[in-house]
Amino acid sequence: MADKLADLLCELEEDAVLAQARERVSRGDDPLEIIEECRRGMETVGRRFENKEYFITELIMAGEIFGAVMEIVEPALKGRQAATIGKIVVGTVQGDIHDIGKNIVRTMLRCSGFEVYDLGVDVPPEKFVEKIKEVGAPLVGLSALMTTSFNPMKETVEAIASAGLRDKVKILIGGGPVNEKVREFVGADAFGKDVTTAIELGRNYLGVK
Amino acid sequence: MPEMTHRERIEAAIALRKPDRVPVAPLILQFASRFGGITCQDYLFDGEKGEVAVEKTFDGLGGWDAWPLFVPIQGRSLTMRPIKYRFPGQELGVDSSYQVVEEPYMQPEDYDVIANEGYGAFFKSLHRRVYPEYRSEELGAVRTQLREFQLRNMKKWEDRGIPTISGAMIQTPLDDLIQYRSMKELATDLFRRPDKVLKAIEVMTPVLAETGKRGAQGSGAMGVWLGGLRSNSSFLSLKQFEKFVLPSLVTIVNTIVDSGQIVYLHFDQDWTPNLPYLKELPKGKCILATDGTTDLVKAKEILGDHMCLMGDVPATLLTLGTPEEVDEYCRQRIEIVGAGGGYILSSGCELPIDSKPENVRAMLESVEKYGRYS
Repeated sequence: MADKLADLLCELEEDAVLAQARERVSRGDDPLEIIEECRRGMETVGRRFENKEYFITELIMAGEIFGAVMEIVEPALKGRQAATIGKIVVGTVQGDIHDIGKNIVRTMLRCSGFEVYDLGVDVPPEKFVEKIKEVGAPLVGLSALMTTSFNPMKETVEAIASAGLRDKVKILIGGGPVNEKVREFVGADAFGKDVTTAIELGRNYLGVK
Repeated sequence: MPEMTHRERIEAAIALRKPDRVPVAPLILQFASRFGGITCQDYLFDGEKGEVAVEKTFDGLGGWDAWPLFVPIQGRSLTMRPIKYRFPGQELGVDSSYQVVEEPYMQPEDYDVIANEGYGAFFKSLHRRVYPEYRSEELGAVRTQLREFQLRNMKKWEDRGIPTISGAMIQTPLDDLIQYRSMKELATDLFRRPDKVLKAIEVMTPVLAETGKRGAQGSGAMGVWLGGLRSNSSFLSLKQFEKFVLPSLVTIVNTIVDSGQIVYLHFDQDWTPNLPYLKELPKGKCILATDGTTDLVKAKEILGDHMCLMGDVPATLLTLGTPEEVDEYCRQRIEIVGAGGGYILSSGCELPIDSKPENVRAMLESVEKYGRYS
């Protein structure tokens, strides 16, 4: 029974997952335990994605189900929070409004226990700096789809450095045209070719597992 | 081997024969604005300035063998589709490239509208919702103007000996739906209402096939642009591909090929796992143009004796790389993918607006350096 929810989630059985989450909440089960089981399900989803058994469609669907479970358990949490492993500020850099990839990464980071602050799209460098300072995040994720976004990415890294934060944060970049050459140009710490790499990089930088 | 004309060279490659040398045909959309010395805003919205910029770009770089798509691209032609954009000089700086605003314009109940009222009726009603400011009689007039502009430009370049590959543009039904529904909503539709998605695709398929076929017929171009941006393994599984993409792809390509035209498969993202399926498309009648994500060497192994390959100098290499790196990339592509013919060198997707001119030159010059067939 314990892993039923995780199994159902990784099989993308939306109706069954939600029915069970509702039933368990009304029964008075610990909502944190429900979240934890769903997280385990999401881990399996991530593994299947890495093994090319699952694709982006499955990741998106799993993220949707996870989000719906969170809404169901939210009232029962009564302000308690699931344990998180660390903070990360993410956003699509200035001049670029593409957010599909960033949103998938955001959802999967949340499911993996990150506390994600999403600044949205077309984010100016100073907004990243402000947010990093405000929440004290040790990780930043910059996203871009266009080659013309490499310069804004670089400017964002420079703004973080001018604010004296460069040695306090690890900067990850991602998006369609991003590769090692772009990482070098931008001055970021690492690039992620897909969502599972992004999660792994984040965990490594935080020293988790 | 005797010198071929540009058109003969492209036709030989498509027919999987050896041309005199590897043809080269970069996809020029917005690159010609910056290189042609005008803002991207003027390029997209002032047709005459755009035409001059395209000529300056072609002549300034020494030319190439074909236009993958008619030039110059027009901002208004983009707004003929029921999706929103951000344009230079409007929401963006005058020199920025345009961007697609991805939102769920289409709602779940619209699948039934497509099924019951047809794709044409749905398209019109969605366009009214997205662009209420266009009146329908105005829309027809704009379409006619745009078409005349495209035809005149294709003719002009044909007279200069430079053929246009695609005289009309469509994409796979699933790619249309992804743009109308947004990628996220469409992904969930594939699980929540697969039968409705499938039914809509069945209704859309013959309409798109006819739109492409008729659009290119008589234009002087070689065929039809068929976009496949997300209908591949970067988005969906092979099982989903078999169900939601392949049947419509085969029907559309066959309809166009049966009319005596070729199909330019503009396939972005990772088609590597999908490549074996493309053997179902007619031999020697398609160009598979990839963007640097699909493994083109693998494509040569799987499809080399079946389909002309085109690509795929990556956007990042053209913007951040050096001419030497571009030269080396092209040399390898020409030697491996160009072996025995059936290959056209090109940019992977659109030549980025901020490509370094010296990198573009290196790409163009590589076909003379390495691409002569004996």
